[in-house]
Order: sequence, then structure tokens, then C-alpha cells
Amino acid sequence: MRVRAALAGGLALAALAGCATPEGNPAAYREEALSTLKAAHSAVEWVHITVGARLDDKMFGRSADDSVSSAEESLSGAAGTFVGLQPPPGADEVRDTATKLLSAAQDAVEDARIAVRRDDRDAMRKAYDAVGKASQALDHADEELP
Amino acid sequence: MTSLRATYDAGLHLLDRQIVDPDDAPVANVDDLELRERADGRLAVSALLTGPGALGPRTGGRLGSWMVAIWRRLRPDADPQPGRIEARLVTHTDSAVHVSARARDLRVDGFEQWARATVIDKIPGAGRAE
Amino acid sequence: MKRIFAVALGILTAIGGFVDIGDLVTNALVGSRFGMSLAWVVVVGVVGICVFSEMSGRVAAVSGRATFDLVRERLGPRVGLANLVASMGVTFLTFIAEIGGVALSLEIATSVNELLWVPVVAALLWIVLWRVRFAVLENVFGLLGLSLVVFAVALWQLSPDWGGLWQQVTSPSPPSGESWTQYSYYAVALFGAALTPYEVFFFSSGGVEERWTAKDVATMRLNVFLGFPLGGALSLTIAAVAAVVFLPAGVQVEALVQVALPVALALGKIGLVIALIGFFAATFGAACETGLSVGYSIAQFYGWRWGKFVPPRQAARFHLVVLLCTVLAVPVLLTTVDPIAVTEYSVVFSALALPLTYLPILVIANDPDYMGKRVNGRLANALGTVYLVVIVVASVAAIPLMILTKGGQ
Repeated sequence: MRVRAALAGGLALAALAGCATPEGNPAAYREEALSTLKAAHSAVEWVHITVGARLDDKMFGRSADDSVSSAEESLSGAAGTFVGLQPPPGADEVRDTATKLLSAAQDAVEDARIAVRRDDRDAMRKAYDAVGKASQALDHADEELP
Repeated sequence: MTSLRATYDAGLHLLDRQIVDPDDAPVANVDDLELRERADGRLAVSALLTGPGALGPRTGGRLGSWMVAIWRRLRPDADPQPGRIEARLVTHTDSAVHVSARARDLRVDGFEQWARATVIDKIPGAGRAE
Repeated sequence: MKRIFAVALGILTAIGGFVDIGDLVTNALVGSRFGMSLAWVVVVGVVGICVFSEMSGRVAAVSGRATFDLVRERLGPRVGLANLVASMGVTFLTFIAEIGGVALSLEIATSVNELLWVPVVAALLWIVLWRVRFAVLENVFGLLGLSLVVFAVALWQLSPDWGGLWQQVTSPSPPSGESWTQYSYYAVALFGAALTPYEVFFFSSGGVEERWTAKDVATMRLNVFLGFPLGGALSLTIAAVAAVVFLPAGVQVEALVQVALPVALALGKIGLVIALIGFFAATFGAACETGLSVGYSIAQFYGWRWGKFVPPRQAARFHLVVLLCTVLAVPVLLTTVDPIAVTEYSVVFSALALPLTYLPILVIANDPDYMGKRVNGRLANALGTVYLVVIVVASVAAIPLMILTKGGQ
């Protein structure tokens, strides 16, 4: 929610200043992608920590649910804003890689949320690993992106 | 009732000061002063004025005229006068202006009475202190 | 014995009241992104609030008048009104954020959505403000807010690299990945969170309600100089646990539940429960304080009768204002605006409103008319003047930084 609003504000400002916007300039678009992936990494790692805490019985189910759901909301906000941007010509590869990473992250987080809400320990363990992988992939986004 | 006899810097010592009654309870603020010219040509304070009817003209500008306009609209009488406290009721000044009459006798708090009657008295427990 | 108890309670209240939703969120956020490199801002802020609280407390004790009473006298009605609108606006915004914070704390504990809690919290809050005694209010929420000490325990339990943390404290510069603009923006935000105007209004009005006299100045000073620094220390532990858990993981704090996560990791479910109790108490207490402060400011500006020490019907306008605030806060929160976002804006706008709030206090505390022999000494004036400069700098920088960083992104 906040990321979306802030990104929208940033775009308006940039347009006013006559600067290159992510939708006009491939370099700016890549920057935008990186920043989105960084925010996504934050949300995914947040889920990772929460599921780990739940598995170690350090958190109540309700609080873990609240935590994972908030993270999921944040992630879909960031991803949604980015996916809605019009890629400038030449930036299609960046878009594909970024959206693949974001999709994988969202899937893993969804599975985590379902597992936590059902209090299904096996599913939680699986989700913990998947989320961990997604988090690592997002952490290396700079090398991954063309 | 001693009257106040002194040469004052009214701006410093009177205006915008809190008016309190003999129990040190707040009555109102000195929003403006009513002055009269004495026989020797000097000015004396004849009354303290309070309320939006007094504060509005003193604030001036558009904001001030809005204040007055809203206040006039909310008063039932055709030509409302600002709240007025006679200068002879002032006993002394320190960090506040002390008057010798009680708040309810001074009748400068129309808004308070309206708020009390319309809202506060309707809520249970309004009459009890802590 | 009774005196010692009174002092202790005052200190506990100051601690509990010092860590409201703004401090909780901003400190955790800063810890997660900047580590402890902004710790110095908290220290500067704590000294500042001590200096000005002592001044306004002394003014209340010696002259029997509260802050806003005097703001209008010194600045005149036009500037006083501008000040009223600005400070009240910020305090009302903070009030909304606090109610949101209470609702969020309840959501974390019960999984019932925050929006459903908002009207319940507002109603409960208003009933407390209507019926509950001032002293009970302060002491209960002050004591319960003390459970935030669990953050210090959690920090200990996490066995952090103390040397590394100290390194961060002593290198006041942005870590890699953050720019100086971001760093400065959050410095201003942290400063605003430490020096929120309502603290001074509430403190001085509370002093007048409790009928402090010159004899109470020593007790008041003890409360200020022990309570606020301890509260500041609490803020720092919240930042520290976030720095230890979130900074290396690359997680940015954006929700209240994240603030409590490190405590859960360190101390398990018990720690989490205590932290949530602390969140609830701190935000509910702060909601009471900010709600009353809006009422105090308006009533004192216009010269109305105010306070909880008289029956409500004798301070009808004051109670009407408090009621209106509580009622108006609900629809604002029901627009689904994120209370955390409201919080973040409220601390920055606090920084904006500071100069007009604190300048009159400095002037009044020097006025022998009000203060007699208890005017400011040289130390108080030196510190007060230095801080006024800092405050003006922060206030001037607030909006440009907010625009440049797009609200801290």
C-alpha cells in the first residue's frame, strides 16, 4: 500500500521534473525493478523468520498468521505496482526475470500463509524451505537481472 | 471591590490573559478591552471583552471577519454584543486577571451553557467529579 | 514513604508515556534499516525533552498556568491561533495514530481485523476519559507500559555482538544501501518522535490539574530527569533488537507485528505476550494523553474551564472537544488508511510544529512576572537556546526531506 503510493508519488515528481521515468528509460526501469525486488526480499524474509518462529513454537498461531498476512499484503502491493508499469523498449528481459522472481516469491508466501493458518506443521516446513529459497533468489537479484 | 488604579501597559498585562474568579477557576480570556476617554483626555479601561465577538475584530483580516460572522450567525439576538466584564470587578493581576464575581454571575459563557445543555448533561455521570 | 511512591509512579508514568506508537514504529524501523547509527538522535531528543519539560513543569508549578495559556499571551492571538491550529493538528493526527496502534495491538493478539477494533477502542477510550480518574489513568497505563522493558531482556537474550552494535552507535552515517538523504529524513523523524508537542502540553496541564506549587519543583525534576531518559533507553532497545534481527536479514519494519518479532525469537510466547501488553498500554495511554491534550490546548487558548478535576458539566466545552475528537478519529481510520503510515507522517509533522511550541516556553521561563525568582538559570537558557536552533533546523528540513525521500522510501 505504502510502496504503491510512494512509487506513484515518485513517478509524478519525476514526470514534473522532466526526468526519465521507469516507463521511458530502461536504466530507470531496471532501478525500479531492483528496488521492488529489494522490498519483496524484505517481505519474504519477514515470512521466513515468522514461519521459523512458529515452527520453533515461539509464536502463537494467531500472531504468526497476522505477521504472514501482513507480509503477504506488502509483497502483493510491491509486485502489483511493478507489474503495472509499462516496460520501455529494450526492457522486456528485465521485466520477465523480475516478474518470475516475484511470482515465485508470491507463491511461496501464499503457501506459507495457508500452512500457518491451517497450523499444518508439515506444510509449514515445506513452506519454510520454499520461502527461504525465494528469499535467497531475491537477495541476488542484482546478478540475476540482465 | 477595589478598582484597579494604575498605569498599565495594557498589551502586556491585560490582553490575552486568563481571567479567573475568586476560586482561581478560569472564566474566560481577555480577548479585547473596552476603553473610555476620561475627563483629562487619557484612556481608561472600562471593561474586559471576551468571546469571538471581541477576538474576531482584534484578530483582523479575513480570519477575524469569519469569526465574527459565524458568531453573529449563532447568536439569537439581532445585534449581539461581545461578552463584557466591568473593569471595576477586577481585583488584581498577577499571571492572570482576577475578578471578584463568580463565573456563572458574569454570564460570558454562552457556548459553555449550550454545550452543557445540548450534549454534556445528556451523558450519564456529567455531574460527578472524579 | 508516600513521597517515594509518588516519585516512583511519576517516573514509571514518564517511561510508559515515552514509548508511544510513533516511538515504537520509528525506532524499530530505524533499527532495521540503519542499525544503531541514529542512536545519537534519540539521545539528543531525550535531553531536549528533559530541558523543555523541566521548564514547562517549573512554569506550571510556579505560576499555576499551563503551556497553552501562556502561548497566546506571549505570541498574541493571531500567531497564537496559528500555533494552536498547527500543534492541535499534529496532536490530533497523533491521536488517530495511537487509536490505530491500539487496534493493531489487538489485531495481533486476536486475529480480529484492526478495522473492527477501531470503533470499540474509540468508545472504550472515551469512556475512560469521561469516568476514570486522572491519577488512575496515569498509574495503570504507566505501570503496564513498563512491560516494554521486555525488549531490554530480549536484547540480552539475543546475545548480540555488543562491539558491533557499539560500532554502529559511534559511526553516525548511513549504512550501505541507504543514502544521506534517507538518513537525514529519519533523523528528523526520530527527533520529532522524541519531542512531540503533546508531551509538554500534557505534562504542564497535568501539573496544573495536580495543583503543583513551587515546593513540587524538586519532585517534578526527579520525574523528568529519571523518567524520560529511561524512556529513551527503552526506545533504544527497541531499535537495537530490530538492528540485531532485521538489519542483517535485509528486512524493513513496516508493521507493528514486526516490532514484536525479535522479542518472540528471543523469549518465545511469554515474551510476545508481555510485548503485546506493553504495546496496548503504551498506545492506549498515549491515546488518552493526546486526546486530553487537544482538549487542553483549545480550552487554554480560549480561556475555558478545563480538566478532569471538575465535574464534566462544569467544563462542558472541554469535554465536548474531547468527545468530538474521539468521534472524528473513527471514520478517518475506517478509510483503511494504514495506522503505521499515519504514525510516520505524524512524527514528521511533529518536527514541523516544534519551534512554535518550544519558543514560548523558553520566553516564559525567563519572565520574572510569571516565575519570580525561579527564572531560568544560565544552564537552562544555554541548553534551551541551543535546542531551539536544532529544532528550527529540523523543522525547516522536514518537508523538503519528506519530498526528496518520497516519504522515507
